[in-house]
Amino acid sequence: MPPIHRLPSITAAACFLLALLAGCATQSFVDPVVDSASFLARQVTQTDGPVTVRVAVPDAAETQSLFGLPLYKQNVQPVWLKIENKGTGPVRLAIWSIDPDYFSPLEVAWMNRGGYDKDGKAAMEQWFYENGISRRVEPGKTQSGFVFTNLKPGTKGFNVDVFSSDTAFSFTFFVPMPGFTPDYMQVDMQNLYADSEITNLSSVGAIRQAVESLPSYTTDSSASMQGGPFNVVLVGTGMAVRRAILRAGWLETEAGSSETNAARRQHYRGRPPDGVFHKVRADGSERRELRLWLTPMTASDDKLWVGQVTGDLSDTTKDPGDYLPDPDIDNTRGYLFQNFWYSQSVTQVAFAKGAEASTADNQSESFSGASFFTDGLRAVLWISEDPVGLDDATLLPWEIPVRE
Amino acid sequence: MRTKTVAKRCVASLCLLLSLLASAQEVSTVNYRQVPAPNDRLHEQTVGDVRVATAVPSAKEAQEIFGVNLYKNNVQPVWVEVENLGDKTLFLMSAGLDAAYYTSLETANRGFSWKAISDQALDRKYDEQTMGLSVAAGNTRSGYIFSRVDEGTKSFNVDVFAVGEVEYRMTFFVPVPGLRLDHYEIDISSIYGEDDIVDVDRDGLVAALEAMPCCVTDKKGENTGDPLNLVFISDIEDLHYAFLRASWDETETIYGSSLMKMGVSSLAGSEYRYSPVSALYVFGRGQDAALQRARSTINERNHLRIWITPLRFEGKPVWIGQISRDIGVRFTSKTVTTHKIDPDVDETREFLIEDLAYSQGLRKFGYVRGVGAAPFAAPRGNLTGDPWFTDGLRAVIWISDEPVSISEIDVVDLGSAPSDSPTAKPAP
Repeated sequence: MPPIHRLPSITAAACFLLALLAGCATQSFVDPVVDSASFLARQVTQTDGPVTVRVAVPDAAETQSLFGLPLYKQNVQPVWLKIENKGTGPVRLAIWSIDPDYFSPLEVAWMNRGGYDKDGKAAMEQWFYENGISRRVEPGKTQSGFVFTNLKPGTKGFNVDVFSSDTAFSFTFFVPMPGFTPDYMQVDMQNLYADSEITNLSSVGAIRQAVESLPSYTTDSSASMQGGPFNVVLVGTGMAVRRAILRAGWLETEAGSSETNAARRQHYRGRPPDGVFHKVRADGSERRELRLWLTPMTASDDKLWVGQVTGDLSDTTKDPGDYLPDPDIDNTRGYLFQNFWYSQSVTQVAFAKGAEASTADNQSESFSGASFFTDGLRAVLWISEDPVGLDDATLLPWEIPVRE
Repeated sequence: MRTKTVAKRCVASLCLLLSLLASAQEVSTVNYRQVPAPNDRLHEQTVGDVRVATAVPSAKEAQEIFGVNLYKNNVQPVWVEVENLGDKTLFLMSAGLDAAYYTSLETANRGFSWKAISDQALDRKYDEQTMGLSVAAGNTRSGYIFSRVDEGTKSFNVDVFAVGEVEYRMTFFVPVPGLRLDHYEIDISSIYGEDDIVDVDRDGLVAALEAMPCCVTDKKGENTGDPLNLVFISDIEDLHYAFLRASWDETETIYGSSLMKMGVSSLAGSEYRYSPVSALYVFGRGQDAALQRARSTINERNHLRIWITPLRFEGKPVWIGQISRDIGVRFTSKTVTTHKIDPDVDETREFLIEDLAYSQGLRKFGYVRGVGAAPFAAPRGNLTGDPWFTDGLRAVIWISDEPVSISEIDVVDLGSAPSDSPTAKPAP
């Protein structure tokens, strides 16, 4: 109990010291000028029926200069919205749909109360209150304002749901952020293959055959040594795959980032992954990585993507440099398949033959030195652009993974 | 060993064969390793061609079974047994139980130091306890799924799929010993006698709700505090389930040890999801139940307190409640630490409506008066001196006993709407 009693005086002393040093607690608040802010030039617009939604997201520097506050450092990412209602009745924006754990405007004001004098604090509170977006938009009116979301690195992907008395209007946005180039943006997907190389698969049977004849393993850069198995195949358009990945909570990796060094040693047709994505728990531990390559195969508008999903068992919160590849790679494949299914992105799922089976007692080894064991199957996921209800996805009777 | 491997392969190829002949699957026996239930508190449901039994070991029981304190590492094992009564292979989705479930090796790694994980015998021990993904036709399989910890009542779904568009979904609510929950301390049914209950129609409901106290009070009833801006129409079980589905946690009754847990967790910024809340008073008694929804730290959470009223509408009890969003910790002279609440209490009220809607527990909602408006510029105050302002309305929320899709929710006209209020937020 003593620490609790002591803390107020310590805090007070620290504040006093800070105030002396920084001359804080004397500042007034300058109302941010949103209308002329440069980030609005990047706004993205979508319309569904009578509802038009415009969104724009300032980056860290733009946020600092607009608000005069280091919101990104506080894990707060402001999202600006403008909602136009051309309908005949009022509509309601569900702020929850953008981020269920959003920060309320006055919460952000409270986080930043330090440093302002009494009037400055009051002015700031009032500004945040008035500029948090209102949920209700009357017919014929337009409403704009901010929602304060949790910071997500890379492209900002989110939903916006708007309801009228009898209809739901749902939007999904991907807002590119300046200064962050996802690795896949540096691959010229359109010109990876000549038209003559591309095979169109006209039936599910042909897809199965093609999936089973894909190489079993990645290789090193010289294609002389065998790496880990290709244990995932995605069937879908580039946009659908990207939406599914974001909807399932995976993050992009930045082009040139050292965090993908291990992934980029793995090759398909002589090239490193076209895209690497990762997902960690809320506490930062247990990173999973998805490495994807475009294949020269299509199925009508869909493309076939071959991939490798791996898990890292280390608790990077305890030791950031730790890396402990999970040898039980089927577990990670099982996670991916369920993760995409539960984020409502798949229409069909199947398991197909791929690599050689190995066991925990007799593990295989990749050129990188990582050991692994697997039943040899690869998960095949048909990815939809629109959300698919959990019970609308179909499991195809190809192979059945059986683990005793 | 050799024989075992061959046997495994035979089973695998048999299943392969069966799956290829999907239209003519036959029942055959697979020798799944069966994992015994951790206790006799089994919860069982049968839907269509699948029988599911579940049991959740307490922290102590889990320690006895696994030899380490898994709960401390935020791992809660859930034992599941699936009996496949049909003729198709079934798939049990761990992600349905917990979207961020742990694999067996992650669990082993969390329970022990990382050096110990190279211990293959240990890995094997966890692997053997883990429930598999598939259950062949005519077979029973059991094992653990490792989820994140929920104390109090563990609520989870068991989702089972089969080849084709076949799916069985069940929801389980399993009480886990170890937490002294405040709504178990109170016998809700004994608060009012049958003579005290008043059945009301729509107009009677609106009139009675608008006549109820505006706010909570202190124990003596002398000072008023936070606004009572929520009304629920629901049986207690449905109310409980709806909040658990929306990730609200039950509250531990205040005892010495839980106060210590909270003091430490608040100062360290870590998440103690079940920290006790202090009592506020309506009808001369402290809340009948309190719930909270944790966010990233203890300083950022939402608190909800509810009281049952003597009203009954369409055969269901009517509850009145108060919700607040903690936005930080403030030091006060009255209590050691208290939480600073978001003064925009309407924002918090609307958040709750969305939270229940997205977790499919909300059937319909509307608004009545009763709090009294307080504009931004002239806020009122709660018992610890935090200001709040409001349009003065109470949200009346009908809780559903089955999942309601968000597009099916009705808005009921009870004579008031937030936009009518003179203190409604101005358009910027």
